[in-house]
Amino acid sequence: MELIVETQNLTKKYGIKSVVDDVRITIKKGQIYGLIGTNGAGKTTLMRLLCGLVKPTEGSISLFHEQCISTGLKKVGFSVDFPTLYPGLNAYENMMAQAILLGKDNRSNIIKYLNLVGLTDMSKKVKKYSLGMKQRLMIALTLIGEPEFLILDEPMNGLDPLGIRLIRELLLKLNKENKMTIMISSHMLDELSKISDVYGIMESGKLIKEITKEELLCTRQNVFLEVDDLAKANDILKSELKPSEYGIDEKNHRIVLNKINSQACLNTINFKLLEHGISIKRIAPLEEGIEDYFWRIMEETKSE
Amino acid sequence: MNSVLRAELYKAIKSKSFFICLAFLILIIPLSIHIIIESPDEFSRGVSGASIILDRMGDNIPVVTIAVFIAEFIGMEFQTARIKLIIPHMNSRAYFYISKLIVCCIGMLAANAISLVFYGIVATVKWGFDPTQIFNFSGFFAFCFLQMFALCAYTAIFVCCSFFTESFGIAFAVDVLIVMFVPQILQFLDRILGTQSFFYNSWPGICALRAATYEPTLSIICEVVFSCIVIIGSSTMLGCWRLNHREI
Repeated sequence: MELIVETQNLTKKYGIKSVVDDVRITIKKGQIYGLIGTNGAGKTTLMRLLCGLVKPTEGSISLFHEQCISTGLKKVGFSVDFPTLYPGLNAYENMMAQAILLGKDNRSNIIKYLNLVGLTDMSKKVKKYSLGMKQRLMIALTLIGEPEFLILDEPMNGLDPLGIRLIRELLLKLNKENKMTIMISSHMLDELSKISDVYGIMESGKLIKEITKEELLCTRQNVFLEVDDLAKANDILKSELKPSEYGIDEKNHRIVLNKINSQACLNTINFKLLEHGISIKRIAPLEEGIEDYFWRIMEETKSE
Repeated sequence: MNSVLRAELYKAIKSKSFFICLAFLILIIPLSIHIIIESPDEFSRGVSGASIILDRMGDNIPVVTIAVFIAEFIGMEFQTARIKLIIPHMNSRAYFYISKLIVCCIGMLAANAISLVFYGIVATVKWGFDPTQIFNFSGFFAFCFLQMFALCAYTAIFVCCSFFTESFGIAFAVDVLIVMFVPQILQFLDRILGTQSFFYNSWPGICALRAATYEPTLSIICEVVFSCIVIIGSSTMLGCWRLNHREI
């Protein structure tokens, strides 16, 4: 698959502090890449590096196989800051200013993109817009150049549930119909999980983990057991496992075994419970979403 | 370069500040004319439509008024962070800087030309156009040519300041201080270095005053053009350097 972004040892230092530290990232054509991290992890700086807004201290960036980033950026649409709009102009004028710059100053095109993000009132000055409306206009602005690759930093901030759904569906549609590659950062991990194909987890400037949606499904390490006698099962497990290795989910009447990474271990527990006459109704891997995975990786990173 | 220049022109046309500044310049005309009428030596000075055009040169009010537009026009790119959407699409950041400079120069020249025409009309209605016969077309074109250089030099300085300060308020304050105090500093420098008003005469405001005649000498033309080109060139290079090294 064609590579859209490829970075090698990408590093950005301010003074002695590495804000982006030795990042190697690859984004393939048609992927939706979700960038996750706590505040100050380096996500926005990484995106600013990819947009050519800041220069790397070390390393290289290749966009559309172009080592010269300014050539590759012609095919990129981006929003890497709080909505960057002219407050004194209306939505149409804001779009037109950008469209002229990109040589796409076609009235019908502008209206098409404004309608696409659900902005129909074009006469209102942007300073009178709500944050959600500004976000929508910002996304329309990134699309006006008809990019092949979108970089969006927190595009769902400030949006109401309807707006979030609209943007999610829009991004999925662009990805599916136009084969648009998208890199998106968000703290709304649940939303991100609905659209992303690949996740990159950043912490302290480093890309600590990169995982595809499929790989995420295979990394589920927690297993739950539905038993007929929860209290008795709890007593047996107390002698077999450490408290950190399991939990009782009383609401769902089940035992959650943490980090069961071998079948042998699971067999032993299964056998012990059966031996004490506890009937097991169901054994299944516990669904681990991107949020649980993210926190698990963060905890592992901290303990290292 | 063509598209960025067109985009900047579009924004300038949509900018309220330019039209507010222009309206202000036109509105102060009756006041200025009234002050001349009230002055006791009105007739001894031979005031007319043709002379008032010359008298207005070196006046800081139009320059400072358009500095408001320039500071706002450039400052808004930084204050709204819109520059982040513009710069990555440029092959060179200098294109953006030069486009801003060209549009600001057009704004400065247009505002001054319009207000000058209004001054001329109001003064002509009051005193006649040229009763003392000082006006000639070739001199007028030379005058316009030199004033254009002086105003562009001022614009280049203001644009450079705006790219350094990145803020409307600070840029405007610095512009006003520059217009007010730099001529005195240059005069002082001339005294220390014994350069006989070389630096002082190179300042755009002084160039505009020296060129405020319908009979400019060749030496004045050369000195004004040279000084202004040096100021435009050096401030543009400085501003481009700043923008190129600025992490946005």
